[in-house]
Amino acid sequence: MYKWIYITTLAISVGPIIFWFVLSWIYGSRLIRKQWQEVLEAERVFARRPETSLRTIPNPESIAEIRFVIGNAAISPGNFNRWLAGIKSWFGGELHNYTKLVDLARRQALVRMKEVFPEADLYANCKIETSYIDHPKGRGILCVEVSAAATGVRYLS
Amino acid sequence: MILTNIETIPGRSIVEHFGLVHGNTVQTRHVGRDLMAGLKNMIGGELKGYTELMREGRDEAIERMIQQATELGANAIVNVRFNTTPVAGGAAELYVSGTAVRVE
Repeated sequence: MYKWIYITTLAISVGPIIFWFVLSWIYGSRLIRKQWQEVLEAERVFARRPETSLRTIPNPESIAEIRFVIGNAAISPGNFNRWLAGIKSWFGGELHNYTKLVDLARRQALVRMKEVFPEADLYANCKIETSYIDHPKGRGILCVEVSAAATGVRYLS
Repeated sequence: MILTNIETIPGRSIVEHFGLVHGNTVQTRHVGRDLMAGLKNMIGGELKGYTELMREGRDEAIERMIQQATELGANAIVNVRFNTTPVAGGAAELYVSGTAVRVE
């Protein structure tokens, strides 16, 4: 009898938390996987239109158009990844989930930057900035925001 | 108005410098957007509301910088730089600066 009361109480108190973590893990992973696919597809499209960190633009005499371009992406790790990172931080080492997430945000920002001026042949002096937005209720960091800016250059054909 | 984040405008020569011009804005999201972001924040992935918010903020800051450059008589801004600083919960300051110039 007491055993069942104990199990029911435990299920009511811990169940919703476990349910939410599992939901966060499954649904969050699906969303992130889908976004990765979209980014990789866009990167293939722009593969011949590279971004450079160089300030000088080669062949300035044959430039047809230049345009300042910006792209950004704000990404949240989700509760499951936060919990995983919390456990991992006891032992130290790389937080792979966070590494991949910030990389995704960066690559998404670069793709969006290129989409502003898709005819450009190269994107010179590409600068990437990573910042964060605090939680409105003071519960740490809400999300990481990555912005990419460059000078898009289109040459005379 | 021509904008670049390099020191020159390729193929054009700078004839006059007007000095530093800048624009800024502190942006926060409205309740509806925050509610959606709050739910999405638990699951993870991109917070589109915040992506848009930051993009709109940058556009606004650029507009202010361009306005300042136009008042000075410039027709281009070179070496454009951005800076983003969290100033309060759910809010960030977006700052942009550059050098206003006149090109031929």
